[in-house]
Amino acid sequence: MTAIEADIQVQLEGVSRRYGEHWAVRDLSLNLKRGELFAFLGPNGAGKTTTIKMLCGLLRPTAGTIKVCGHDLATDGLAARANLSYVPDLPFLYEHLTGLEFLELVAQLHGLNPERARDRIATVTRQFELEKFRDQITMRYSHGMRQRTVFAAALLHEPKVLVVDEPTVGLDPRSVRQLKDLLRELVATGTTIFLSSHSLDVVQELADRIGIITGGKLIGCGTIEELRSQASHAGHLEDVFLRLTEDGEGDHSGEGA
Amino acid sequence: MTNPLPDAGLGVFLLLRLRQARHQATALRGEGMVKVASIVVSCGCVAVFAFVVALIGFHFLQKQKLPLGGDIIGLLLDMFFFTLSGLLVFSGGLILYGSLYDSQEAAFLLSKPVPDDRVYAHQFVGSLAVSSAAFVLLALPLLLAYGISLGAGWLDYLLMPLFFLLFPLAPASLGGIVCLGLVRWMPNRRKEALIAIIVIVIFAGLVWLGAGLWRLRPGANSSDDEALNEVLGHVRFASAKILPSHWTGRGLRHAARGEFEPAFRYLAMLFSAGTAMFCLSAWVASLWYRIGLDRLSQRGRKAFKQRFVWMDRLPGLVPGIGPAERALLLKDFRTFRRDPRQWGQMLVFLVLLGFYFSSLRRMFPGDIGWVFRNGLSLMNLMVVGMLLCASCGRFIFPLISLEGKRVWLLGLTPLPRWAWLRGKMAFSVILCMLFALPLLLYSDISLGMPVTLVLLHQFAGLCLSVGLSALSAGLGAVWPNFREKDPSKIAVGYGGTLSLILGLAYLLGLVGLVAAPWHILAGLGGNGQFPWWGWLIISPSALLGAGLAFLAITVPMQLGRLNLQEQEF
Repeated sequence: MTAIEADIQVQLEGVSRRYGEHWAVRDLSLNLKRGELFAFLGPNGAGKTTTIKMLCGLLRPTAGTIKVCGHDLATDGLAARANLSYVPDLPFLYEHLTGLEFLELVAQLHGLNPERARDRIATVTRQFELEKFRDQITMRYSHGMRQRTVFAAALLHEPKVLVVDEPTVGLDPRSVRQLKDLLRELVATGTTIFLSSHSLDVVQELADRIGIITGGKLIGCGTIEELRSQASHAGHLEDVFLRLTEDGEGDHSGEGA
Repeated sequence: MTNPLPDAGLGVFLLLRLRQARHQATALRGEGMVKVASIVVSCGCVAVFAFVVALIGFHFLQKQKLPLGGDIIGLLLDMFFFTLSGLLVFSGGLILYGSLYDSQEAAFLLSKPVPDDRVYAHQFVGSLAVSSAAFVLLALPLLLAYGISLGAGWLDYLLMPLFFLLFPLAPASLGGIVCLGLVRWMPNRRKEALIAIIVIVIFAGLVWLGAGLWRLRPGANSSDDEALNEVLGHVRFASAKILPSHWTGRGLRHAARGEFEPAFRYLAMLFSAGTAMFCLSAWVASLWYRIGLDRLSQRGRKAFKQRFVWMDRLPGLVPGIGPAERALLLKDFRTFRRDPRQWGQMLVFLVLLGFYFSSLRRMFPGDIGWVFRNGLSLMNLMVVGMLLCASCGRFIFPLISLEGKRVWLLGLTPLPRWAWLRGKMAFSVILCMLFALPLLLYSDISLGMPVTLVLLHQFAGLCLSVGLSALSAGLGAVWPNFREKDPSKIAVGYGGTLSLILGLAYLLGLVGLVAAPWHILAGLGGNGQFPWWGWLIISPSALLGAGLAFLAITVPMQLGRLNLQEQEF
């Protein structure tokens, strides 16, 4: 294994996924390096959520392979998921547990020994400012409190790869700022982040590379400069995105919704 | 370096359940003692009622010189547990489907490094608790009454909870395997497969019932003893030695008789079979669960063709409602009929009931005794009422709670919230009347009952349909559960259970006032005749029944309206 191969944390090779007659994702190949923030953009129904679900092992690719930290999700799913965390767009919390109990549960699910679990829970509690409400039942949490708790739980076992789906939805400007700082910190410490979002400002500000998918096909992938060059448009990411997806939709017209 | 492979043992999930239960209990206490007391009292009422009825039944059997520890009662117990097993397979599988394939919790756990069989085991325990709650509430008093009637010793009461704990394991595991298999192998045909299962169950039930009635056809048996033997022979399959339901019945009988060794032997067999079935289902889950989930999401987007369905015409027949309310009603009819999970079990009962009624005339020739016919007619009214009560509790009570998820749509329409409630009641009344009145008519005609009783029963059926509908719809708004999206879980919750119990109380009260006086007077007369002054008892009593129905309609609906009006979403 070369140094570059060892540095790759997420590897998608020729990944395709079909729903009935409709191909939601087609021949997607990606390599994400350690400490890279990769943003995944696309119009509604483009295949983003399907890709994320495959990356988390909730769906299986119809064709192709996905590896997380070298572990194939199809054959070595447990090891792959041990290195990964997923923050969905609609975060799940057990309504009848306190925030602290939820963190303890996630620590146990990830097999953290009690001492390390205590340390890590203390760390993320401070990091996400959960002290004030971590002993309350999560049923009474606001959206922001829920989001912070879910992020804290996702980072508890120090995952190598973090998959985040629409993290800024419903957050106030201060929380969005905190989230951006957090993602930057994580990337700086070597965590690979796969971010799906419609907030193009956040993406433009944070992403090392951006992938644009439409009709299940990756139609653009690279830095913002590379995408601008591909779109022959030197403007804001929004314009580049619209230009590329319009072209992409034209290419795939008539291939199913 | 990658993170080490974790090993989240079952203890983690046990701790999760315990913590959830503790917080739920705390939350319940926080809602005041009235709620806790009403749960205890209402469950106690059901249990005491079942206990008293069972005690009277066993006492009657003893008076008939039927040995309670003997084979006939053993066969009845076997049949009882066999039927419960069937229901547990069905309801366990259905509830597990929701927990495995349609829950955020399952998706959360599956994204964690937890083996699939452990996620399955965790969800299995939850669904088992829900599906066997009613079984414990009804079977426990029955078996306590059996033990007391038989003069059982301490061993019986010691082993009874263990039998109860282990008995549902095998049928619920079988339900789990069926559920996993259906999703794994027929992800796009789940609905059709479920309908096919329902049809097969109905068909098998009809064949079995038909064969039994054929054995009892007029002239087939020379004596009552022979007829009894025929009946016993027909249900003998429930005593097959390989059935865990038979081991439960047998084990409990031995325990009641103080026979230590065989009671423990059957308990051990139940434990072995139950855990083996559970392990088998968990192993199947490790193979099929994730694949099934994947295949379930793979189903194509087939073009949906709107076809004409007679049921969709029914909202048009409801008088006094506007187009918006009619549209809401139509929505309820459409969502109901498109989900066979909701009506499958009830359909099985309905068809079997219809078949049983239709067989009454063939089963009993013209010379059937009046007392027997009179009793059967009253019993049939009770059976139809209980079916209505169970259906309303299961399907109508959760309707307002389920609307909570769609309140962003409904809440912004010019429809007052009161109209939501009225719509649910109208929906229920239509369905109840559609099934109850023809069934009662059929039963009374089959038994050759006089016109006056047919009319009284129709009146009782009408009061039951309207009253039980109002009770379920109204109380569903009094105790809504906007967080839960599974109607079966809403129905077995606090409000659902209380609503069911109130429904049963209403059923008893109404039948007692409207129909029972006629049956008692006609029974005393010996041939269905009674003196004219009998009507001086029957008429005011029926009027009182109408008053009770009025209360059952207005009180819960008003309480529901007030609560819904103040509800914040």
